[in-house]
Amino acid sequence: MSETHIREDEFPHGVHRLREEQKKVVSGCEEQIQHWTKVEADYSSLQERLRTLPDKLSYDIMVPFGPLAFMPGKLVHTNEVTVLLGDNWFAKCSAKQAVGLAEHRKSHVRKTLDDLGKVAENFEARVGFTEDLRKYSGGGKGNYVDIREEVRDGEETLTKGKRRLAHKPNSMPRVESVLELPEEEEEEEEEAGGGAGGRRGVLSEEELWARLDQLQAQEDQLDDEDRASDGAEVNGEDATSSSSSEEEKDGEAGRLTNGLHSDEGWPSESRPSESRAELQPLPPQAHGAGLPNLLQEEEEEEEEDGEGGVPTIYFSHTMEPKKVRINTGRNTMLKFSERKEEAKRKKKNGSHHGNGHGHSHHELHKIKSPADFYRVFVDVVNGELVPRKSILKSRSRENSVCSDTSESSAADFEERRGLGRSLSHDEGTHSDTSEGILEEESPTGPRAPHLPFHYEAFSGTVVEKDPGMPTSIPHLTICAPALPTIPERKCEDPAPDGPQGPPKRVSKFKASRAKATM
Amino acid sequence: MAEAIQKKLQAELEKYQQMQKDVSKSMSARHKLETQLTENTIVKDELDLLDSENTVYKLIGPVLVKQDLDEAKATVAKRLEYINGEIQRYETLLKEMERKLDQHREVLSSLQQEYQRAQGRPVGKV
Amino acid sequence: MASKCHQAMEDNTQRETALKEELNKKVKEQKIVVDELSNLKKNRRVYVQQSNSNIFFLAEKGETLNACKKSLDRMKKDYQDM
Repeated sequence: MSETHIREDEFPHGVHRLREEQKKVVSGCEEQIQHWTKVEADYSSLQERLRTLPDKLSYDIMVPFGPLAFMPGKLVHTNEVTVLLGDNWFAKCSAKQAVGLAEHRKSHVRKTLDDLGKVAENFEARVGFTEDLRKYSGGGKGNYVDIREEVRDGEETLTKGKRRLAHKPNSMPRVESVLELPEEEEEEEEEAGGGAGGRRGVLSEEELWARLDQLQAQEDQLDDEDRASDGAEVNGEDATSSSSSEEEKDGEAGRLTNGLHSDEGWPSESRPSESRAELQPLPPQAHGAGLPNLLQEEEEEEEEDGEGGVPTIYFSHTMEPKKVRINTGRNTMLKFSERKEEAKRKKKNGSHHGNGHGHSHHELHKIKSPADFYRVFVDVVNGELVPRKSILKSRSRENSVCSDTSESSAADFEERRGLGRSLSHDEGTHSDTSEGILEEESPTGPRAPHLPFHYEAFSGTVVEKDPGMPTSIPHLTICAPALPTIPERKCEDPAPDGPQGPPKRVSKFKASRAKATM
Repeated sequence: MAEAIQKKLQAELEKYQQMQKDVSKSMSARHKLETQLTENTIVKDELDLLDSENTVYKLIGPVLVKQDLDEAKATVAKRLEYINGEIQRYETLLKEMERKLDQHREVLSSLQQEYQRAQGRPVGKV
Repeated sequence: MASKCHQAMEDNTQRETALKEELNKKVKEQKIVVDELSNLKKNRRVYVQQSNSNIFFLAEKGETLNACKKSLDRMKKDYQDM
């Protein structure tokens, strides 16, 4: 049973033929099975006959006389049977022995039947796969859609640096800061323009390109600035780019629009689609809690019945306001973007709050691997960062996603939780930190409840250790700069991070608070 | 130039097809041998089930010739060995042929490419 | 995959109908056999064929008739079950 190997260049036809061939094999198999079953039945009846044969001395029978005639005759010597053993060998034996021989042959037949059965099963499975393949390939039958994303040259060059690269340990924080600024700016512009929904929708290409250039210029600017300020940081272009990429990733809310226009329902200001053009073709990463890169389809979100008859959807990445569904204990919808804006704004204002604090909470949400989630979900216990045991559960009932009842208490909890350590830089720039900059530094944990912040949905701040801390950095470079993830906890203790980090953050925090209250 | 390549291509193609036929012939021969193998195995087992008082016959043409049970067993065993040896031989032969077939296939594909290139260039020039 | 299930079901039903038809045919044949046997003259001899071969053994008419009747009943029952 050799299966025809067909190159499925033309999908529907190829698959069709494959299916046909497989069907043939399966039916052939079935025929064989039938045949062998019949043989077995024959042997059984033969055995019966042999058993009864010696009962009588002779039998009256009709003797086949040629192919078409019979003659009456007698069967004598009923116990003597000449058995064809195979390959032109005969053996004379008694009826009982013949029965034994027949039994032996039956076992052989049964074995063949089993093998055939297995083959049939396998082929059934294969047939199933081919069916699936046929559906996948389209032909208008399946619900499967090809999703394509075109990478245009312009985008490539722009996003050149933003491709994901292996980060150097110290690079992360740096990157964040650099990235935030342009976005922050844009967001401000956006807000100024009141373009909550303005930016949404399909942007014309030209607009996008213009925006792209704008952003690129901004980034370069910021890059230089940051580089100047953060001499220690080892972030080069790569870091920037990678961070920007991360930024994008982070920034992109967990809303897969599947090439559809961004959801109009987003309450907060939409992130300007600035980075729409910037969007590199990031592989939709499942950032932990399922935050796929936000894809906003731009132009061709046609559904083409093109290649292979599969409807195709074109889309490209954009930066959308993040709607991260994070169990923040309040609403699950995180007005992530708002916070980000805040962070950016603050960063912009106080840009150089020490060692690359700029990366702010972008870094928080820069989740590149599952481990990053554990960084994000961090409790602040007694001024120390304690990774939460389960990021699925909130600290308390009140914080549960389902209940929006106790907002205030929830807020308190959030504060105390310090879902993330406040990003030093971000805090520095907290002006209206209310927007969920419940970034509390670990030391400010106890203080947190007092913070008169507006409680926002997402209090999950990703607190990162101050990257400036030399000691901490080397230790906690597992994924991002020294966030107290569970595995990193051990590192934490020996590292004199705690004392060092918080103080700085406290200061910033205080500053921001002061601002807020003012 | 293109014609020369085309001719070469044709020749190669024919050779390839011939090889394929040979391969399939060898395969069918091997298949036959396998059936014989199973059959002789069954005969051997059944002979073992018998005892010496039974008479064993061998069909030679239209004649059933009486045989000795032990002789028969020996003959069958020898035949079995012979068949096994043949199968091995065919196996190696088949492998060799497969290899040659692959070689030919490669040659064929390269020739095809050349041909296409040759086709393309004259067209372009013109 | 709903469509896949549907197709499988279709195949099944097809097979079922085919089987049913076959069984139907067999039932008819058996009926004929029983009728013929019961309508035989007294002195006729009945021979039973050995499966898969051309040898016929003499059998008793009465016995054969009973056996055939039983098999007919059995087949009818199978058909009903289907």
